[in-house]
Amino acid sequence: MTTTYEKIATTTLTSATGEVTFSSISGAFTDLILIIQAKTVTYNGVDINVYVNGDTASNYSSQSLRGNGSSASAARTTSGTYFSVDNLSIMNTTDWTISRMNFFNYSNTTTNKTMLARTDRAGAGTTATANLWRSTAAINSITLDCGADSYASGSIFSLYGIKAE
Amino acid sequence: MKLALKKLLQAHPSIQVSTLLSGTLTTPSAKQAFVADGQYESIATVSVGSGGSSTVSFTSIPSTYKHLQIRAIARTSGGSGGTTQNLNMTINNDTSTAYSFHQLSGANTSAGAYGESVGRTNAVQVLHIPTVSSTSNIFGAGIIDILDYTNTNKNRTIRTFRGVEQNITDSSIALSSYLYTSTTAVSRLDFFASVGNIVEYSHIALYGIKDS
Repeated sequence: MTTTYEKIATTTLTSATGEVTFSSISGAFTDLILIIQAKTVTYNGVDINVYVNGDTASNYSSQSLRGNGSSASAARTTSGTYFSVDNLSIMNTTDWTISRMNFFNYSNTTTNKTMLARTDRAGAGTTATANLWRSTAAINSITLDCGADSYASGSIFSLYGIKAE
Repeated sequence: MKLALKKLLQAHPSIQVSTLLSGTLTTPSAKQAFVADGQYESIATVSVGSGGSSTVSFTSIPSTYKHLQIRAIARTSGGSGGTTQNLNMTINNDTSTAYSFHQLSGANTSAGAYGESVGRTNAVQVLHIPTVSSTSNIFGAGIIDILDYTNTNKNRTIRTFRGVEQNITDSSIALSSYLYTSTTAVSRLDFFASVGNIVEYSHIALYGIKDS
């Protein structure tokens, strides 16, 4: 039995930042887990957008399940240009949003890549999403932005690797 | 892309992160909210080879952990005419109707809830998976947690987080809880598709989580 679940990289922003990128991600693991705690600087109702390998073409799609405190709903994005990680425009400027993203078998070159995410903000709701990147390329970089806004100082981005043996 | 504001995190292991950041590095507190350092171990993994497999089995699972976690991607060779089927799991090779579950799911634009009581299902439906009719190279994915799996004073409680996204409306995401009405410690898990074989490149990994 081999101990796994290893930290790859982590940062806490010390100033507002529009885009955070994990690059040159090692292919040594089986799954990646990206955990963030973030809020925005200017706008309320902002999505967490994620791109991989710098790809901003229409190769992404998402299926979501959402609860906002009074009702449950579902929605989807087909042929989008990024992972719609929360699909609820969940971030705002005052409360911390947390999200945990699971990138499955990210380094193989035979399957398209599936990512499952749970995203929560107590004042807004909770969401679960299944996301697809239609590419068999190994994921070697992950970029997060929040559209026209920036992630606020104090936002945390942590990337971990799990290796199956 | 707002490159002017971009922070570059050079990831393990090629370049030290600290050399590229102007911000403050933190300890991995986010991870520790879920699992403590050194407490998560790989037990066994099956990567399905060419020709597929009717069943993926983990036997003689050690009892040295507190919880088990399975992380999987899978697809089936069957299911012609539809684009989603189930990947099922039995515990300790028990195929009786000793299982029950509740599920909260989203599919296309519909959110729904569903359940089956004990006596109506003889396996745990752990993943939604693409079929032979689906676009190639797409796999369903999921995380399965089996809690306190060696405690002989409790029935077994399981939860899953699973999804299959296919860039079509026949996609789904679900959060589920399961009961297996047995107090026997879990020592074996078997995975099989509702129809067809589990195809090549499917990957099922079993992990153990310690509590000390």
